[in-house]
Amino acid sequence: MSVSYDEVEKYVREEVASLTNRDATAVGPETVLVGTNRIVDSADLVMLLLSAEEYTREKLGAVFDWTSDSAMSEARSVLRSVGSLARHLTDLQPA
Amino acid sequence: MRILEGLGSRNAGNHEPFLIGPGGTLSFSDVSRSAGDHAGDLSRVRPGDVVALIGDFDGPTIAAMLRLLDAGVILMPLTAGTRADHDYFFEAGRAEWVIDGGRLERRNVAGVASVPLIDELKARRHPGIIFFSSGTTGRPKAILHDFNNFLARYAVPRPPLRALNFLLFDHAGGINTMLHTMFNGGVVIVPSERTPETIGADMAAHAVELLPATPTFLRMMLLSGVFDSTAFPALRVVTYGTERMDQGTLDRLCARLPTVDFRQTYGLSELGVFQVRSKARDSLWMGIGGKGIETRVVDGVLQIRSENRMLGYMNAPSPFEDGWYDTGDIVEQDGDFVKVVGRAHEILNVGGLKILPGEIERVALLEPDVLRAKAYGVANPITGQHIEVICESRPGAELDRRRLMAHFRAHLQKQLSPHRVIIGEVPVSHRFKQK
Repeated sequence: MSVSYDEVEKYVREEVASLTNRDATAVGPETVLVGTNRIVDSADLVMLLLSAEEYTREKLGAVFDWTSDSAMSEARSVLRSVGSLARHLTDLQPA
Repeated sequence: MRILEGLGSRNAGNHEPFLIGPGGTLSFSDVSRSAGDHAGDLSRVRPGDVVALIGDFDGPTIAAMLRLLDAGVILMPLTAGTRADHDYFFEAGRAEWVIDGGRLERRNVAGVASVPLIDELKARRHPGIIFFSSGTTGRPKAILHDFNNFLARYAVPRPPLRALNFLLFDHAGGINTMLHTMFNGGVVIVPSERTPETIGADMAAHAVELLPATPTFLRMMLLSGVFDSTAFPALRVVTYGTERMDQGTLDRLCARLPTVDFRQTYGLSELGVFQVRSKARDSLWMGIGGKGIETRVVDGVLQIRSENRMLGYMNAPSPFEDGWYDTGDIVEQDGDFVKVVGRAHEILNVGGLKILPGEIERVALLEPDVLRAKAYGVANPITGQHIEVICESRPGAELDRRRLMAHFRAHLQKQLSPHRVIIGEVPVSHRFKQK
């Protein structure tokens, strides 16, 4: 059974909150991850993506490849916000 | 110099065993006798032939080794533990003969091109010895020495000691321990197994005075409790080398064995073993010297020029520039002393910030439940590299990733803290070094 977007978004929000020492309620789907007004620095972002890689493998049964050049060509849209990353991970699940 | 004759004259009248091992004892007169065991076979070997000798520090192997070197061959000492790589070693070192289990067999080398370094050694009419690098940066390299140069270091007599030969028969350090002890009238104790408990039992039973070991193995001995449960009244010196020691382990060893002198060794198969003096028993600072040895530090990296350096690699370009060898060891300097802090090719670069894996591993070992740690870089498109570290727990302890992450963050700046902590086993090589 696939995991819902809401559940994946909750995971991403909690992970970002933990990495940035914020309350989870202060992080929402519009919270920016890259570009102006981002709340994570490069080290936090790397750790978020490593965590997401494991989460995707273990909970979603899919592969989240963020280290290849092709993945990075989409990174700007995928990593724009908590919501866009959660949507991308959710959609990686096998049909 | 003929080695058997030299050893015989130095030890004339000495009928005491110079080697004690699981297979029994061995004296110089035994060696002279057992050297004849292979007489029929070994007479087929010609000076300058490359002979792979598979064995350990036992009577027949040592006798064959000395006899072969006296016959002017180029010896390739190997152990059964690396059998999976033997075909590669034979090819890389151009072995023409293999002695395994006491049987001599000729390899078919028809059509194999001659090697200029071997031709050079043959022209000198000198015996040779081939060691293999550990191959951390590619396949192992075949390191060819003129054995007469290798022997030169034993010309100066040193105090005889009862030494446990921890290092293996295929390691320059193991051969050095054996020859050093033989030439100086000491006794070599060959352990029956290389486990902390067995080594401890052998040390106590045979009143071992000198224990040469790797930092990895000394950590295993500390962990096993051998130093708590067994007294070693004869033990005078522990030497450590072949990989980087950390200050925490050295401090624990010094506290556990307060009357023992701890000395760092430093050697490279390409250059031989040097005379090294530690600044103090609890210090990682060392002075490197000896006859024909020069050192310098270029861009933080230690370079050494040695009169007794290898002739060259048989399967790779020469690493020497005007005789200088770049050790790849990053060192700090304090007058004549240096301290190795990492390896040049291992520098991690995270978004332009640089750190050595050794620094990460040092911090990992500050956590009491961490037995071993291995840090490395992984390429990524955001920061260029990020840092991952494998932490192995002490038996009975449970490591928690989040707690370890917090531990690293408390000791390292954020950007250089490991980005991923993996709880798992850190591989250890057959030479008891971290892979």
